[in-house]
Amino acid sequence: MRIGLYVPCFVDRLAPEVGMAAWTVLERLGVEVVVPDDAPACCGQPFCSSGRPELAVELPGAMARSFRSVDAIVLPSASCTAFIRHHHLALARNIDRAAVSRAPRVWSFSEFLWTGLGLRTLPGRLDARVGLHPGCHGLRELGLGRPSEHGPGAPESVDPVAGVVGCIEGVTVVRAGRVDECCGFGGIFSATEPAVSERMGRDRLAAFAGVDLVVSEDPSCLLHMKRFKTTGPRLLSMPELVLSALDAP
Amino acid sequence: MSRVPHPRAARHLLADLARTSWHDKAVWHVRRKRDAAAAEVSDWEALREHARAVRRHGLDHLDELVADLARNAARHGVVVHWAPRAADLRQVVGQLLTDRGVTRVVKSKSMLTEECGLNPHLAALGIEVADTDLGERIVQLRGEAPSHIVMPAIHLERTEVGRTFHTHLGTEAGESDPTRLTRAARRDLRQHFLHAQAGITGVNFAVAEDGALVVCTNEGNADLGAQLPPLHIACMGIDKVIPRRADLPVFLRLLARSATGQPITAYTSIFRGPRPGAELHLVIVDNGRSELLGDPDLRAALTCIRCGACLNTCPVYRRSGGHSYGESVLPGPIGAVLGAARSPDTHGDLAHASSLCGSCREVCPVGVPLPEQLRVLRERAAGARPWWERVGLRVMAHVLADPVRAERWGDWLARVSGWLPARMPRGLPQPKRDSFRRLARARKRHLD
Repeated sequence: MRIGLYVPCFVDRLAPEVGMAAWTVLERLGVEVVVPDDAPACCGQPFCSSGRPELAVELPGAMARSFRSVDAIVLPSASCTAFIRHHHLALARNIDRAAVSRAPRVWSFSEFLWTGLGLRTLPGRLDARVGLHPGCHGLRELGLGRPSEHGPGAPESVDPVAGVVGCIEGVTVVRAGRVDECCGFGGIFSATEPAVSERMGRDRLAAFAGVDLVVSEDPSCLLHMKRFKTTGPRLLSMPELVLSALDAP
Repeated sequence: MSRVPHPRAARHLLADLARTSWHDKAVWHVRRKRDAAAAEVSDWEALREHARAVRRHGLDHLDELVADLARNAARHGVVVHWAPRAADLRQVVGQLLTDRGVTRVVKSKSMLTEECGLNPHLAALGIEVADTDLGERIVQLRGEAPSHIVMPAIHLERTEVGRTFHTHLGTEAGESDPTRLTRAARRDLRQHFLHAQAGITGVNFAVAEDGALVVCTNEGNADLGAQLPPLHIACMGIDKVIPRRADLPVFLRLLARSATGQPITAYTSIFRGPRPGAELHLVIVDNGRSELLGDPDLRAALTCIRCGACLNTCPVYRRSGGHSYGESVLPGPIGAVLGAARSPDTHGDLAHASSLCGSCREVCPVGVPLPEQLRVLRERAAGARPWWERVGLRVMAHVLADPVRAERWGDWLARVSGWLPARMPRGLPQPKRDSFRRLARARKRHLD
């Protein structure tokens, strides 16, 4: 199986190590990884959330073209995955519509490991109390886990992030008191509503007091929370966590 | 535009760290009560889906349903009035009251009358209006607007209520015991009920097939207001109509559980017609709802049953407070949608008062797609955004359109970010000198 690794704009420049970790992990799990040079720099979500989709109409087509030779696309970001999966066809309008509709399936990193590869065990060991921070779009748009709002009778859900974390021996998973409260990043929101956004970030960090690590499928949430962190747990993306488990003695 | 934009208005509450924490916790507590109440209903999600379907069906047939409602209510002696705009509601109600020489009115909670500015209008006519919902009474005495749909005074601590009551109701200075304060409010309100010449209520649901008007309260204040005076004026938006009586239990179950976590509101009264010797008037208000109905992207907002669950779950509302949304609209996600939809010029910025986390859509008992609607509203108000945002997005689009250009700009940004003044927004992440793409090229070369 050949997968295309797509590293979104902010990971590319602000957290390249996350992309490299995802690449290494996928290869060690026996997957052939392609990283196309001509992949567009951004999936277009920032423009759509800002009310300016017309600035991004060509990105879905460009993306579909650069990944046309792979079986699946994997992203170390659930939010971008949700955007591509659910909004790219509409965003493309009539530009490269055929190519976009035939584009390979996009997977969020842990979703691909858990559901795509059927990963159930990992070598290595990590003795740590790990807090899970579910990104909002992964949770409520990709369906990675069960949103806390859901009542009885909601469709069954799987949580691939918790699943993959649970594969690592020695890890104790800790849930925050408000299990899936937003970290306050929200893309453009952090720029247009800086005060509310900062308070949300601080509160979210405080919710993880006492854990060793906070892990998320969304590096954007982690980068946001890092802005307000002085002490406390390390913030780690899923590819980095899995890599550190693979590397552990 | 005289309104303070949301980001700035939000700072009012946020400036007080402890108060923000307390407000956030108080409102979140209600969200948790809602979760517990939902968990007790074995088919909660099916109930939501059913309610959504009934409400969407209701929108598709709104004209017929409202006509049926008016006809069936009139059959039972209800006098029906039509109010296309807010001014018409003010005029109709003002006329009804002045024609009968009414000078004292009791009013139970009605967000519609807030929307239409009824209280100031009646005051100008020399009519004294006492709001009788306890929370609404508190904010009325303070000269404030409600900060929540269901809990109008949720932004106040009990000591503040104590001070307000000390000033207006003569309770002892320093009294902040909730029970004693409530008793004082009750004594005062009892006098208003006894001397009122008319009662104004809202309507939670109006049943088209039999003309029944349903009013839900936890304090019984609507019942006293409707039953004691000889004139009852019920005010409703056209969106409150539901098709059949058989649909009512679906909404009663969802409303109270979603709003406060109760299985049902303490008082659920169904008015069919006037008492013998009394009058019952129904004012049916449009005030922009028909325009919203004709808007395919936003019309689902008309299915809202005003439970307030989207406020309680909203991480922005809980930290910015209800007053940050401006005083003429509902607060929270539903208020942002309705406010930005109806008054894009003055309230368009509210579409940005959300991180688009999606919790509101999942908690909504009728599944209003609030985040999607906020996105649409952002598109519509894009031209009114601040210049730096518009320019910034254009530059960003240009840069990101081409991966090579993106890398060049990224390199430049990584170089200059070290020189940026210390007064930049707190701790923005530092761009790395080597992008993933550069590292990836090196790795590929190495592998080759």
